[in-house]
Amino acid sequence: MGKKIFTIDIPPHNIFMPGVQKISEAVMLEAGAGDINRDEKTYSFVLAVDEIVANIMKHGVRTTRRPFLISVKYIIGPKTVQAVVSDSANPYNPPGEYDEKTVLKNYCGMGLHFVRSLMDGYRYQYDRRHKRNIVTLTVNLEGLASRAASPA
Amino acid sequence: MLPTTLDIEVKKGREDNVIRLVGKLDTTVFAHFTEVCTPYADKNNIIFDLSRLSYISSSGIGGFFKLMKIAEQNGYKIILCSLQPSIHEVIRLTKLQNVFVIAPDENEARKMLKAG
Repeated sequence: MGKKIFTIDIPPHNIFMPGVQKISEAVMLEAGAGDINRDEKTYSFVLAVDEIVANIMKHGVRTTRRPFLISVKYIIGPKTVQAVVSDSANPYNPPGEYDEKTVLKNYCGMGLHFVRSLMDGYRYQYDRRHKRNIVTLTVNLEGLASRAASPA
Repeated sequence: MLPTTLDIEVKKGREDNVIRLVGKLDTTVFAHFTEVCTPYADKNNIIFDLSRLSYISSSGIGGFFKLMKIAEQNGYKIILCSLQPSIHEVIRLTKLQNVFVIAPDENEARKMLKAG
């Protein structure tokens, strides 16, 4: 099975969030997972993409005085589904050392805590050449109940 | 598929208020949620019935956290009950099960409030 790639570009506005959630769920269904009400991997993936996009809308808009778009590239591979979320807002401050106890005590950085806890892979990088923030989320497909049950 | 809205139903009682959330609680409805629920948090205990809440993001969790702080400052408690399995799992995976008081259902929540 080759890779399938879908890309969406949205302005940083809350009204687009429900659409992003529905597309993230549709991508997981395409990959063989169950719907959000019965598959925890789908729920986690939708939620993680949601958290990253919401974070860009919150912080990117606050720190960037020019219009920009948020791009979400979904990559369905044989063993993983990835969401590569990028934007041309100003680079974000590199997160400080991740301290789970502080997050849970002070309720700061909870969105990122969710993403780290729910995803099999998380990576942030700043592309200096193209001036883009890039977050890559990865969920492993191995062990999906619906895949295992499907005929060979 | 995910619902697109959040409905908030309030049932006032003498010893507690029960607030039932129907739909999804994310960044798009977070402000409305806290605006509606904050006035209840400093006047009485609250039992949140989440049996029909199908989605919650960190913004929604932040809303509960804020309400919990307000309630505690005024000598009240907030209990979450009847969580759907997917939401229970998210709370477990993000290690928030010790941050919030969680009950299996409304009756158990009430017992927990009476037990102090």
